[in-house]
Amino acid sequence: MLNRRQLLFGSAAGAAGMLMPRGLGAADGRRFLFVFANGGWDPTVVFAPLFDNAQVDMPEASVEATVGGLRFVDSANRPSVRSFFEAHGSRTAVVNGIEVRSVSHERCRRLALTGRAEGDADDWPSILAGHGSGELLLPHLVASGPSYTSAFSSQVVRIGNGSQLPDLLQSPTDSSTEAWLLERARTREGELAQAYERVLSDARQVAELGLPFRDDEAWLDRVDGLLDALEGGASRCGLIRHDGLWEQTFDSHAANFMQSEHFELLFSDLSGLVDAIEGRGLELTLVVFSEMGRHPQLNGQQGKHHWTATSAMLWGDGVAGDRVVGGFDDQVEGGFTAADLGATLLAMGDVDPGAWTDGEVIEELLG
Amino acid sequence: MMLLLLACTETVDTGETPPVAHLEDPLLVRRMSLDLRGTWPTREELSLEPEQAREAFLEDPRFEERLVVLFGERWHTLVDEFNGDWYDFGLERQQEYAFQRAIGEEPLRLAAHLGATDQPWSRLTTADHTMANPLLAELFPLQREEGEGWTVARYTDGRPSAGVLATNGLWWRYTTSLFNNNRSRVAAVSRVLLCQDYLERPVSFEGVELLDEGGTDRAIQEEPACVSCHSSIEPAAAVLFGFYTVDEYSPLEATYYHPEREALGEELLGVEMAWFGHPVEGLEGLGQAVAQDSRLYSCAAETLTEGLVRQSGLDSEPHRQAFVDSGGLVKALVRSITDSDAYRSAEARLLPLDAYASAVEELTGFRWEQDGFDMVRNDEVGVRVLGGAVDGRELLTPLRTPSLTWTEVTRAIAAQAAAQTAESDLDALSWRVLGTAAPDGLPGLEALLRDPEAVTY
Repeated sequence: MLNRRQLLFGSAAGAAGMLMPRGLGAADGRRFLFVFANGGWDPTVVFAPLFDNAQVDMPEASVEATVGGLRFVDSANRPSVRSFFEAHGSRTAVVNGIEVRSVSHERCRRLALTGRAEGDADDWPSILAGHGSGELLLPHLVASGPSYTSAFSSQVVRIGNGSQLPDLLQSPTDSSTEAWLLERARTREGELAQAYERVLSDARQVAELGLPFRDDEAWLDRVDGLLDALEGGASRCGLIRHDGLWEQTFDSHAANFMQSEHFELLFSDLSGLVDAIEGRGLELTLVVFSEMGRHPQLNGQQGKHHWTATSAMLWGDGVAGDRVVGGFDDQVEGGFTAADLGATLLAMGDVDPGAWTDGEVIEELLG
Repeated sequence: MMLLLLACTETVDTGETPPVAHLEDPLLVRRMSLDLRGTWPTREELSLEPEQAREAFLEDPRFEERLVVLFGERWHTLVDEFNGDWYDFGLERQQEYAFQRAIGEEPLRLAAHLGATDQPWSRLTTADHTMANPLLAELFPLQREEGEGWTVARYTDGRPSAGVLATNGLWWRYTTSLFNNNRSRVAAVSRVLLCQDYLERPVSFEGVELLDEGGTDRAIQEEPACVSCHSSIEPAAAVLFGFYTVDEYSPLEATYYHPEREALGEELLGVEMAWFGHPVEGLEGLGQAVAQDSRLYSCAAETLTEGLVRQSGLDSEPHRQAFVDSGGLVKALVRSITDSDAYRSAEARLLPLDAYASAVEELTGFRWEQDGFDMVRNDEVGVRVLGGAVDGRELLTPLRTPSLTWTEVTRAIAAQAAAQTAESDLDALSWRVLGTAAPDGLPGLEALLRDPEAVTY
């Protein structure tokens, strides 16, 4: 019996021939899944064991620990972190000391995803999607989270905060109407008409396939829909936001101890995600990031304000795992930029980084 | 109705691309009607001279609605979430969308009202009033003039006269915190009203000892890289403390102006109130200084040029000049833009979602609503972003070329409009004709509303 995924995207070899969407099996580049930890996480809670730096307020009940080549901040309060590294550390790389050189959420989100502050830039997943086979139905599928596009706007397909797209796709249009519209579009000249013709055709295919997203689903179920699209060859990139425990976000200006709770849930979810990826036999690069870090020192409300240096975590295809790359100096500043990480991701995706960013590829991350 | 659509389609369908770069007159009238009123023109209007038609469109009440949308694309106040919500004010859940929309529209309504009623743009930051609909007047301390919809209203909590700078709508969208001290609000004002985005400026922390106690404050005052921005941010931020809240999540605090906190700014920030080096006295003084800032006018020109031509990076200087020469009248600015080669270019553009939805509503009476939400103008349950419009937070640039989700949104609108039209007005045979495609191959209403000619302009 075919499961839901196979029915939707025809990934079972036998079924695929019956309903082969455009692009199925044609995702000829490496695939990426971006998980955006919303609000600015505190690297010292997991990624940066800065116990020797007196200027840093480290989390309580925490110690430095090592799993393979991964040095991290361990705690009995965050068992999912350790278990993730134990299970998946060999394919995991931590990047410490990524400077976004800002403390504004808006600017940092843009910098983290584009390497630039200006508004006319494409983000890493859009660029990667734009350099896919050109035949993908849902090149960059955004379940939730920020997306910045300029040249590659048409590559981004949003599911909607409440999974609105699947609802839209549920009531198919009379086929003769679609045929008439396609014919009308074909008789028109210009790029806009051609784009319209293409999206009409794409929309029909996607409607026939269905999209497995429901807004009442748990985070892991929602991300499963992205995996469907990535596995089925409909997408090259996916993006989903993680808001931490109770959707409070990682923005802990007060009560920084909540970072521990957020990371525990995040890593628990990431474990489930990686299990799901491996269970499918799917090869992709997982990019877990946040727009900024948090100030090394606690404030009067036991929270931490914004900080310019942060961390990221990569897992999977193309990643040189079992290592921590970079670090924080005694001023808790980093040596990488967000553009460096972006350049690295583009290089992993066989896209010339120099055409899109002035960042430098972090060679130690390339597997 | 079908005849009208076909007539429009036939008129528009001119076959070969015209050899000239400009649109032909009927097509130009059609474009201006969609841009300035959000509706397709009538057959009679299509025969008018473009300039004649434009004057009529500028006097149309729907022009004000369009200005709300056009300025909204830059101001980003039409968001789905504020720190206060409908339940804080004892409203019904069905009023959630109306609540969000009323607050987000407030500053835009003032801008649109000034533009539509030939008042000088300087009043944007000096007017002694705002605009309110009945719901907004219920939420905030406002005395609203009689009338339907949005009318002139005045706050009754003693706040100074400063146009949009004295609206709750602006400051509910652009909040601050105890630590930020209104700095982000100044950055927002700069981006929205001056088109100068502090966040796009290069930032250097070289030589800044961020970990030292007081290091950041010293850097803001001494480090050249920091001073270049903060020397103008802090003095303006100091003016805004009447809107400063001790608890940024308290709707009650954010509802009222706090004159007793006005003096806090200079004390907390250690600067005197000023607008880019020019000392000002309080919020009213700030509004007057902004009104005299030439960038207020160049930004309006840039915003409407981008909004009407549907393209970024265009030269809006000639339009700014026409705007200033007119004494700051928005209609003069619109005339200048719509006279330009860029606007009249024959190259097709994607019809913005809001204009498409309003045009369909005008034609068929269909407005897509669900549980009180306008489905094309929010993202909480609606499809605004999927249809290519900005959400004011994560998607800030409107779609310029068709996307998969855009075509699904227009399909949903067209199909429902066709179904409603058929069910309410017509018999079963007509439903076949208008709802989808007729047996003889005639296109149905849904098809006509999604025709490449209908969704571009």
